[in-house]
Amino acid sequence: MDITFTPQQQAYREQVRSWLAENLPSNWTQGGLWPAQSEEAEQELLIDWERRLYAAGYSGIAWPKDYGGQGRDHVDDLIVNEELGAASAPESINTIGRELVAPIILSVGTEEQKRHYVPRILRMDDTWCQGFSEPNAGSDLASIKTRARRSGDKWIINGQKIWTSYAHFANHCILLARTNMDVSPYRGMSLFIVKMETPGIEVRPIRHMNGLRHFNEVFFTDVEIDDGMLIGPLDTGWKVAVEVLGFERATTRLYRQARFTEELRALVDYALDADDVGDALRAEIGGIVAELSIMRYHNLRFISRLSSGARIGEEASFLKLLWSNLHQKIARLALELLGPEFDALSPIAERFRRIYFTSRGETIYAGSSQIQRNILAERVLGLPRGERRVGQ
Amino acid sequence: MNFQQSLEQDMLRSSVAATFDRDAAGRGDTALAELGIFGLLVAEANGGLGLGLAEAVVVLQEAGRAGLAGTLAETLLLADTIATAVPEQCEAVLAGGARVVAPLSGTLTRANGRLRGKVTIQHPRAGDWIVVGVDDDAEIVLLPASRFELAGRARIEAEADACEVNVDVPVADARLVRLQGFADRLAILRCAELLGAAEHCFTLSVGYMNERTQFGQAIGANQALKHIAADTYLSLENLRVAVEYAAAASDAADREDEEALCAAAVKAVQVMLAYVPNTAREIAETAIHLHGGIGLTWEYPLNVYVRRIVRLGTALGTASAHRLALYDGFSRSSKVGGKATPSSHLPRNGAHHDSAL
Ligand SMILES: Cc1cc2nc3c(=O)[nH]c(=O)nc-3n(C[C@H](O)[C@H](O)[C@H](O)COP(=O)(O)OP(=O)(O)OC[C@H]3O[C@@H](n4cnc5c(N)ncnc54)[C@H](O)[C@@H]3O)c2cc1C
Repeated sequence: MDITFTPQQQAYREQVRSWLAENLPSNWTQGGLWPAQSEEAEQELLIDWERRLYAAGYSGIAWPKDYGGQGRDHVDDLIVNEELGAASAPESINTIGRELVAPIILSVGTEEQKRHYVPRILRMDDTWCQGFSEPNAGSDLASIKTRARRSGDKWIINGQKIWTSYAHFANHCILLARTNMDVSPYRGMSLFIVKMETPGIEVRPIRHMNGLRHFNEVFFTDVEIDDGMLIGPLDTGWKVAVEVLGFERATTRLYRQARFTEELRALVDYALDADDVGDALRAEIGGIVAELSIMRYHNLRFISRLSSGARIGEEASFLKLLWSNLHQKIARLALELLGPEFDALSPIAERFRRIYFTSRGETIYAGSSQIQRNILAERVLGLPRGERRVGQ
Repeated sequence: MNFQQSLEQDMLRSSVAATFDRDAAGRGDTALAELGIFGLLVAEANGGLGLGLAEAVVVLQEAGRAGLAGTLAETLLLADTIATAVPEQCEAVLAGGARVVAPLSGTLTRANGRLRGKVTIQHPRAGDWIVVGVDDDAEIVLLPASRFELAGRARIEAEADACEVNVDVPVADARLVRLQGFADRLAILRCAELLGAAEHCFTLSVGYMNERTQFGQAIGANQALKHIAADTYLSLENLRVAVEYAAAASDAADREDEEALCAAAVKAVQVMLAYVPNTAREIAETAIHLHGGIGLTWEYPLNVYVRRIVRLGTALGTASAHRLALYDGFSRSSKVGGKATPSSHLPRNGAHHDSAL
């Protein structure tokens, strides 16, 4: 057991840190652009930022060189993530591409798909959205109704998706659709690549509680796509998504821990300025510091396991429970500390307004806390299977 | 960086676990000695294994799981000191024959040529020496156990008397040893015991949830209980990394006496103390609840573990004090700079700043 980093790794950390110090956009404040500008201007800045990050060699760290990645190891990936988080660098607006599409394509895609799509994600030529959830299929994803029917060498897609983040600017969608009505619901689904410009797609915005245009409804009416847009073997979409997601749960957004720590630091700085931190509040903050440290230890453990070739399974669900809860705690602390200043027109208030409202979604998406607990209880601890989908 | 157990540590765990299993009666000293456990932290020059806290944590965790830790933590920690100071005792040390007892709580202060203080000791007659920290944790004193009057305390654990000892001895008579970080190391091993004990409570709970039926099905089929189990699983994983990281950080600081590593080791102990004792106790309390009435009986095995967890946990200081110490470190490293309140666990090198660690 060794928690220290090699001199080379430390040097790499320094290198990333100083690059970030020199290159971070100066008008970016985690509360968005400050002074505030339009959502489009923000979007442009974010796309440009991700391009520069990649040009400097700081994205796709552990992805293979053949597909545009840096071909470095998981520890370096952790280091870059920690520095991005500690610098409060802007978060990706292509998370679906980075965290879902590229890993799925790298694991089950064709060689052609890998060579085409993965580098385009890194270069920000393509931004992606994820068409999984439907009005009647949220936690119970296997009850999706959107269908893909074969017609010659094409697929014809009909149905409706909802909560589709980024669909208003993404040019590609990874779509989960039913391809087989004759097998169990879990087995008859497939994953497709759909270009958002394809005729028959209509995107209707839904405004997020945080005030931003974040997600959308997406309607598919006789949308025709080529056979080559199927990802992985037919009818295995669920299995692929679940496997990749399990692995990803442990490795994506490793920067979160450092980022949350910086958020807490910003709050403490603010409170110290205002000089109103009593002992009860100090102890509460100290408790959060302990949990943030524990979160880091988990990151180190998962990275170590990955580095030695271990398989990460459903146990990684506990990480989702941990970080989503912890972030909501920090957001609530912000309410308490900002108090009557919560509506101030200041970067810090704007930042924590965003964090507070956004973090409410974190125990809902990517498998709600209840779904994560079901997974842990049934698949990891081996307790009896409970809820079954009633009435098909 | 490789923060996971090595193959050797896995093997150590299985042999220690097997030894404790075979010897549920608590007479495992010979078997433990054969595995070299008493020499785990003894330098190779003294005939020991020269291993670190990471390995000692494995041993104490298994001892905690088996409910057989007794005074193993302090005995392992002091073994090298005794073997070095009294070479003729070396063999006895390695055989487990030189037991020491550290108080659950209390330290001594040095003033006017005397060492004074009141300490609470469990198993007061289980060791030849009582080892107590002095002042700021840089020194310890070894006191012959036979020499003191013992005043009784309430029995928290069925098998162990706790006593109060009023120490007042001339410094000249005492065997003082410089042993920096003894309190932190002992805390790490006691938290490892808590981890093992909490794990056992959870294992009993999950077993019971599968076995006990009500309303025609296993109680574990109810989502209300499943979700409690899932949350407890998360707590246990938190406990595990908190203890193992503190041990690994302490080992790293021992290997290389570098400022950042020492600060990281100090902080890791604060994190551990802020989280582990309370959470281990919550896991034990949950276990009682999940068992219904049977969990509340004197005879059911949970009782022993719950009492041990409560006893050890309450002696490790209040969680809020440890949280305050963490707050101080954190705010001092922030841009504005906080106002410090004194913290009980002092850095090894006086270094005290918050790093990414
Ligand atoms: C900010 C945000 C962004 C999103 N982006 C996308 C996206 O880009 N693409 C996409 O496909 N989807 C996206 N989603 C959708 C997300 O995956 C779903 O919201 C989620 O799966 C929950 O589904 P639901 O909203 O229908 O809630 P429901 O499933 O109806 O859940 C409602 C409540 O019931 C609980 N519940 C449900 N089932 C159970 C059960 N078996 N046991 C106990 N409790 C249960 C849930 O925990 C929740 O509290 C996004 C959601 C949010 C909030």
